[in-house]
Amino acid sequence: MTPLSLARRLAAVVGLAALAAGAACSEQLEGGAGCAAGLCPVTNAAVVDTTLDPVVLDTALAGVPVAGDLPVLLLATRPGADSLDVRAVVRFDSVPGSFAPPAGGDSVRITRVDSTAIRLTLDTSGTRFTGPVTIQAYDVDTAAAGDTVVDVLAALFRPDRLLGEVTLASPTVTGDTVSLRLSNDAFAAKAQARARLRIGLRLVSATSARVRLFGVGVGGVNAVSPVVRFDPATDTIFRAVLVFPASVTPGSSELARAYRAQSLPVRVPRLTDGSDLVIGGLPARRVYMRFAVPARFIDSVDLVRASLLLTQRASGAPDALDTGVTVRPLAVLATDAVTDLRRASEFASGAVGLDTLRVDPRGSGVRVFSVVNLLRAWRALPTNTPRALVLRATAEGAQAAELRFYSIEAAAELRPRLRLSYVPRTNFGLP
Amino acid sequence: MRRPVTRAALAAAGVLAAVAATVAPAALRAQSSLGLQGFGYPAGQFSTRAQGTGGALGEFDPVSVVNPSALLEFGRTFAAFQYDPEFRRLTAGSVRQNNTVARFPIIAVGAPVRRKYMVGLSASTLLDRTFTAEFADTARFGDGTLAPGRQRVESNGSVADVRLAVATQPARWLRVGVSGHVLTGENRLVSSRRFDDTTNFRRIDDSTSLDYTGLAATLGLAATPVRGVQLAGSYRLGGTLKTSRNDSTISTGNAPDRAGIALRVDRVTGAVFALAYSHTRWSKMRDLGTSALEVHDATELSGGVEALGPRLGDFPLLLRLGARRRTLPFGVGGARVRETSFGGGLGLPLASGRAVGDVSLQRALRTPQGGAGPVADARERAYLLSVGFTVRP
Repeated sequence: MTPLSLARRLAAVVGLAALAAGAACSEQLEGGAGCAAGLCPVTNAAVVDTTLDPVVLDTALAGVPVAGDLPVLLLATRPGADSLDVRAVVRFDSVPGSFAPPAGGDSVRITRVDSTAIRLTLDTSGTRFTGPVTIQAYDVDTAAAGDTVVDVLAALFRPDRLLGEVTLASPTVTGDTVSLRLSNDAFAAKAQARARLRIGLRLVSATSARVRLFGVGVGGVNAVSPVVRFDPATDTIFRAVLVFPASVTPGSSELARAYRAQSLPVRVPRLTDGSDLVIGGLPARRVYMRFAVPARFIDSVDLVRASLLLTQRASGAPDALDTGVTVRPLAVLATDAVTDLRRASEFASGAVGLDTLRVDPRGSGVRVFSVVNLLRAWRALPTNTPRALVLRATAEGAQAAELRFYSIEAAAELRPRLRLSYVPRTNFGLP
Repeated sequence: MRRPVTRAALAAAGVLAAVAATVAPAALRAQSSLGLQGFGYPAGQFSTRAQGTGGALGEFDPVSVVNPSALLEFGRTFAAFQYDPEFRRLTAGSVRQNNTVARFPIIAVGAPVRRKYMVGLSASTLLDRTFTAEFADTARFGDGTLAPGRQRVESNGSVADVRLAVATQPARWLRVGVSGHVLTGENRLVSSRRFDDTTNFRRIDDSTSLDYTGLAATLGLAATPVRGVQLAGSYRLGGTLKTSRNDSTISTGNAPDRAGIALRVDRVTGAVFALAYSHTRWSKMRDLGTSALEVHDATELSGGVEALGPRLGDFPLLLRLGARRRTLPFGVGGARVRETSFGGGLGLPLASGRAVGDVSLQRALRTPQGGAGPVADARERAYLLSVGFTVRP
């Protein structure tokens, strides 16, 4: 027999080892099916459930949204005993008195105008009507004091101040944009006098109806804001002029800017709040809740689920068109230096990732808000930040429907509760 | 011209190898298993050669980390390492699962000192705890909500046994060895639980590292009362064994004691027969785990033969056969786990006897003893391949 060389023997051993390694590496790893048979070498700790009564303060806050924080405007009407009448005002306090001719040269004073109209962009997600509805535009400018007061403005919706109207056949054929023709003569008079143009919008319908318009957003005038368009002469060679919302009253310029668009809840049937936690409605309210959750649930466990359980009671004035109010939970980020709860609620943020919940205002029973991200966010907030939550309607100020929930003053079984599901941090890995 | 291997180089290699064994004892992953419960699977601390005889030659084998007196068997400098992949199949009712795990269970070096002594340094795997399990699971919450999702648990690492041993021969018929053991290593564990509904349920991820530190000492003897018959015995006394996390001790127990005896008969030309028995008090580790830890003392009985085979060149092949039955230390579901294995191996002398390549293959069956439900029906079959290489310059 020919002796094997050292190199060949070594090669044989190394090759065998490589074969074994290769076989091992190529083995298909399968799932841990054996875990289901109770053979898992390590099992995750079981999820523990507990329910707390951690709410130490809850209240409904009125006066919201603050002026200028209303991206949409509601026009609503409902005839009958529980009649509803919500109007809006859009202010154009900078109507030009002259225009620049397209061919150049000095500006020309406006004496006659043509094709004057206000363009309104509908928020179709909040527009509900079944039959034809009419949107009327009124001149609601007044020199009287209190030109932002609802009653003062409501009294100006008179036939002699009617600027124009447009009828919408049905939401399905209307589209997103509505052009409401205004009186050319009335507008020309405003231009000549350099007067303010403040347009009051009202919805007229034989049946319950609701139209939601885009107003002036928080960021300012944008592509969907109301805008007045006119031709500064009656022939066709002149380019149309656009007038954007602007307001010079009331008060400071900053406050005045907030009143470029204003909602006017002229007639809103409602019950008193009592001890209820009210969300939405007109005038709108939002809920502020402060919690005292044991620190161990914030710092020492792994939260899987955290649910705020609120018991709803049916709203006393349901609107058949409002089948749902979408509620957005927000984390309060203001420290305890901010003692005004309404102001603190303005510093609430949804950035922690809290999901909205749509609730039927006519319903009742327990409603569950997922707040697990809120509790996780509390871990990172400064210790002088109240563990608080704000619940507000996404269409706050632009939806008549409201939600009512029992507060901590209600019977024990109806109070707000917090249900936590968590995994204790144990000696994970120790068999 | 062959380049000599110096003792210093071997020592350095040994240190590096020991570190490697501690840090990365396993390269591949496995999942659920009968043998991987508790603190892990006891790899046995046997060399490839000893495994070829079912472990029966372990008390006499210088590479096996059992009896320090066996260091004298080579009588000269050596270095050894081995690679042990395992291919196993678990069946439990309708569940069938194939797993693979790879181990580097022993790296050892040894050298004579002052002619009368032999010193050895080794790193070996005492308990291997490497697995990954990912499975579908539906969590049931207190309000009756069912939340389907997936769970994953993963562990990498082992408890390693770093041994410094010295052996001597005070009489022609007697060999004595003592060794000190540092038990060290870590388990790096990862756990995650995620839910299909990510809106209402948050994913949980957790990771931790368990560190092990402990001590043990072994006394080993080997006697030759009559020519061709050798008796060997060893006793390992386990000291304190601790687990810690982030430098904080979380549990304290004891390393397991082990007592073993073996008989080797070398009266037939070209063949060596061996029988071995050992008992390991794994229950001393009970306080190391939680109250749910199922730990049992284990006995091990093995028998095997090593014989000269056909010649390849100037040296003969070594053929080995053996069988072993033992109880695994960690049970599951109220059941102990018994492992029965049989197999064989080859030894290929290389380089004029200055190196040996060994291969062994064992077929193992692991069965629960007792228990109820799916655990009682579980069976695990495995092929344990071992490839070892020993250099004796």
